[in-house]
Amino acid sequence: MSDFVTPEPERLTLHDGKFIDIKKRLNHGETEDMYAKWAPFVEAGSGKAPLLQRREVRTSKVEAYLLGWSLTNDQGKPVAMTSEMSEADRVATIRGLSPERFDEIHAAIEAHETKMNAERAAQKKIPDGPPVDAATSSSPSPVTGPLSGSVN
Amino acid sequence: MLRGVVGRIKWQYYECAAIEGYTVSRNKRGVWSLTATVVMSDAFKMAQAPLTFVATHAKGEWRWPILTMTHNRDTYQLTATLGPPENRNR
Repeated sequence: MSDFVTPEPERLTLHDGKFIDIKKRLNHGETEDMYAKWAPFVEAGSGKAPLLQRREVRTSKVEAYLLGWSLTNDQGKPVAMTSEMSEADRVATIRGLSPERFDEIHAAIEAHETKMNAERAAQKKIPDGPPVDAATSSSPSPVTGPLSGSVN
Repeated sequence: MLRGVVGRIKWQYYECAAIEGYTVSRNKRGVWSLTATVVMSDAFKMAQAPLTFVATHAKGEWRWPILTMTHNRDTYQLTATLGPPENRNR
């Protein structure tokens, strides 16, 4: 199991057959960026739950995950949503969605996130290899040669 | 030989590098190569695979898989050998 997130797109189908392409999983940086939009400032050591920016919580999650879609405008023309667009343009486009379509996209991403979390939790319970008997497990190989050197 | 200004290097959906000024050429043996000036890059993403060089044109973009690459971060110069191109029209 890798310690890094490999970028993988995933396609989710919406109720009318249109689709959204999303990141299968956010990496640490993307997750932190999303949290920072929710609550830019958190009082260290206060133990209080951070105050969240109501306007950002759902929109920034959709923006963080979304790679593309097949959505159209009222003339049936495709509306661009790509990872090459600026963040401002992406957010402006997302904010232009009908509330019903946004809710559907947000719910689809939340369901995907829940499914991924459950899969990862299940993977953590499965050991990577055969059980190791602590009494017979081998020690790390001794390092040969100098650990550090000096030319002085 | 193809010369252009704006290009980028991608790792899946991530942009690894922004390019300003590039030359793509193919030698007699049919091997494609790239020389480019990198103006912004992400060292971690540039070390991943597979990487793709993307050059935008009026009707879409050309994409080449990067087979081997050297990037001098001091001179901003990048050289790479590329696989055959794929054309994506808008």
